[in-house]
Amino acid sequence: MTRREFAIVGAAVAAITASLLLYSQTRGFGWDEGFHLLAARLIAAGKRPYVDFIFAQTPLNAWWNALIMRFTGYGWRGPHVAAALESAASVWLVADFVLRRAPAAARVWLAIAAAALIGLNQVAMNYATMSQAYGLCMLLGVLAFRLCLEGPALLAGVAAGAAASASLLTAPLGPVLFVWLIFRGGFQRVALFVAGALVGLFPVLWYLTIAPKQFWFDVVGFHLYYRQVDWSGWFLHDLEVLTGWLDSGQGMLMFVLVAAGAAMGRKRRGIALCSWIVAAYCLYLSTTHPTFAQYFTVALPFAAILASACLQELYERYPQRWPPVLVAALMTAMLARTVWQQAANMSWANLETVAAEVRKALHPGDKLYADEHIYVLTGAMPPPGMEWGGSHKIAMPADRARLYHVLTQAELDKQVKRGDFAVVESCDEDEVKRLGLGNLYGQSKQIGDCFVFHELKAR
Amino acid sequence: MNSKPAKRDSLILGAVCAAIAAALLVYSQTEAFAWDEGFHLLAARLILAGKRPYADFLFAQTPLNAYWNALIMRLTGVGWRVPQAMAALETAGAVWLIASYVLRNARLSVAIAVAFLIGLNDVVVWYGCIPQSYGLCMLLGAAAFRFCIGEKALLAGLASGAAASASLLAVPIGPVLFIRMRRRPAFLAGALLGLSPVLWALATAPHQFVFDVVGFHVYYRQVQWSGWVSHDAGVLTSWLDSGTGLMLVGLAIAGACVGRARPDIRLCAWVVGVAAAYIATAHPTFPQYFTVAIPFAAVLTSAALEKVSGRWPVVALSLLMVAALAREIWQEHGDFSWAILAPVIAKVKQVTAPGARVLADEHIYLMAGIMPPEGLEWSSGHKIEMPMDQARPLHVLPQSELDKQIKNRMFDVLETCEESDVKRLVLRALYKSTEQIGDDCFVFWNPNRP
Repeated sequence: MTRREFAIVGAAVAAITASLLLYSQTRGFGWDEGFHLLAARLIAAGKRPYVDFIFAQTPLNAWWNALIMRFTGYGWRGPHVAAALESAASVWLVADFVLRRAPAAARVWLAIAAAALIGLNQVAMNYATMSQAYGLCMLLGVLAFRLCLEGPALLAGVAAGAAASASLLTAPLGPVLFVWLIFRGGFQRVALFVAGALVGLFPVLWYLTIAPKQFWFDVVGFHLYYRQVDWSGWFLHDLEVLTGWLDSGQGMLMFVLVAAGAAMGRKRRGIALCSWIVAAYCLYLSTTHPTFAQYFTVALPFAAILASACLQELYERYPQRWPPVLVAALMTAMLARTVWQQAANMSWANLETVAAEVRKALHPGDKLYADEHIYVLTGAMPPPGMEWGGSHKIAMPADRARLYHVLTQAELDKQVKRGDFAVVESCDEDEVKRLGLGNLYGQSKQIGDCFVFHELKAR
Repeated sequence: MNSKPAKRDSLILGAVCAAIAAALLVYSQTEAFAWDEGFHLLAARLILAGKRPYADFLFAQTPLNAYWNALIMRLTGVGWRVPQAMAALETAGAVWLIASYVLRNARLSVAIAVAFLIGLNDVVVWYGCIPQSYGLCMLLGAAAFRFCIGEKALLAGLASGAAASASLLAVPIGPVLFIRMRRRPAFLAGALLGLSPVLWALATAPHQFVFDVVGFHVYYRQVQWSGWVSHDAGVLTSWLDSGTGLMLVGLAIAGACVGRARPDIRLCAWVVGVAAAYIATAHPTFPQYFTVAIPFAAVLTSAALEKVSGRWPVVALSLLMVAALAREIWQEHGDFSWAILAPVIAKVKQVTAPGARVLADEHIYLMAGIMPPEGLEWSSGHKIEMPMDQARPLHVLPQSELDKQIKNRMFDVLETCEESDVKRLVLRALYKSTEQIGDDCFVFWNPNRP
């Protein structure tokens, strides 16, 4: 690899990084990131996940966001910047991997195409630029992969364990690398990998020790028994998600390149490992009912390496540089179209207006019922049981609910109707109608899709 | 290379095309439906009843497809089923013409993949199975290409002229083929013959024909489409966000590049380029308009597929087309269809007394056997706002005039599938009896006449 090649690929990755950063600060938004940010905010305030509030995720990403918030303030911008940079780093690690292995005459373009296949992927742009764990998982995953192939096995284990500590979605990575090392690495590397993985899994092991019941319920029990509640149509939903790539330009392009790359490059060590990782991820992620397209972003860096293997084989058969150039150009055009089409979607800017309205209505000591984002934006602490809106669907007896910090929907409805909340904010019109909030409060304001109610009517 | 294919290969390809035809036929009789087909079928019904397009009613299309549907209805009865079946067969005919041509230049697996690329393209399936002119235009376009390659100038001209007579969308095919032909006078003679329905209409009702087929599209098409620029940008880039669209466009571009030394590939590249540029200027434009270029694009893809060694990439491509179409049909299942309109038609029939004046969607006039009052033959014609003295000779009924008639309770029965119209015109106050059928349609009868 020459300095010039390094500089060209570096410039391309820098441009992708700039796009990710720009997107993270303007359009980056996911409804579910609210409870991730709120968890981080609560950790920064001294609360412990599982022990003090329900949290159905492994803890590392929340810790990481809490650390970022400590330095950048309690908002969404700092965590978004970090997520965009984590995604950009995974883009660089993949581009560098391709650059070091591809034939000299085409490696620059092959590396740029690989970078574009991750960094300009529309699902990655949407989800790996915000404070959920996707960016961190991509970075830790590709780091574990590269270290497993060419670096210290101990660090590979740390990265794989940390990835699983950041999100359950990356759980298959460690086992695949472990099996790979058994066949290709020798005993010493396997032992080092396991030791490293235990280090990486420290946050998980810590909570499993101090709050075993709650941790087990939140991270396993919830997903096994309560995830599908309110999702009666999950089978059709999942089928739609799993076949979504057939109706997406980027999805189809990626699938064709990945399938062809896995077949063409199967005799190359790194490619074979990537194929196993992608297959294990796809199998595992398709069993999380309901599943979502964004879950598959954790497999994206490995898929991009397989795709670049296809482009490399194509180059070796027909020595022309235009296929990788075309792939990069298509990824850019497809992303631009999607960003344009989604310009009117909900964003943090919309919620900041809602938060301003809530702030105006809220007095010191008032109890606030709100979406998690609003707690983060207003700085108000959620009442017990309100740390995660998705948990209200868990119906269980009061004594168990108390142990797991669950506030059931029935109990929450009672509190609302009793007038326990001085201010109510909701972006769910069905909920507003169901609870008859218009009749309970004297003042209300609709801002886009969201509603703010205050001034309880006298009974 | 342009050799006669082996008999076994031809038989296998024929069987594949027959399977595609069967699939298109099933789709045409079950799911296929487009709102705009209503006025095409109604125009055919009016022709069958002795009326003339342009001269007797507003019709903003070239006339051949309406005459063709009228002929089908004369032979098989008034309805949508046989015209839809014929459209499916026309589309299947285009698939066979192109795939069998490809088989002369490429191996069997490539020809089969090309057949799938056309016949299982989602937009082709949705719109090539309804009695709008897409199926006929694809068939005539493919035939014109085959005749052109075979140097049968008269027939090439006839087919391309007929395509333009079936739809304005097919207009660019003729000029591009004409430039390529060696026997241009014969091509011109054929084209004039193919254009005879247009020329006849132009001779018998020149003022109305020019307004309907040219004036409407130039001056009134964009009315009520204030966002057509971003709409068109969305349509023109939609292939980027569609798996099958990306495959077709990507392979067609690759084929045009790698096969540029072949005259047939150059010809197809020109037809696709000119047709795409022309259709992109139809504001607002729609994805289905581009179906007329798909047979030519499919020939381009064959040049790219021929370069791919081995059989499995082509087999994989075919499987992807099948899977993508299956997903699309599954996702679209439950959308508006003729089956949903059936109870609406039954209700209108039930409440309409002989001689009653009815305002309804075109589909309802057709299937309820009711002739539309003057000016109601095409509902989109109402957006043409002009003084009545100008509107009358053009058979235009402006929306303002129609609203007046509705408010004066001039319709004994009123059917609409536009809830906004129900609210805008306060229809519930104008009629004593009303029924909502399904989510979208309403029938009103017993007007509250003073």
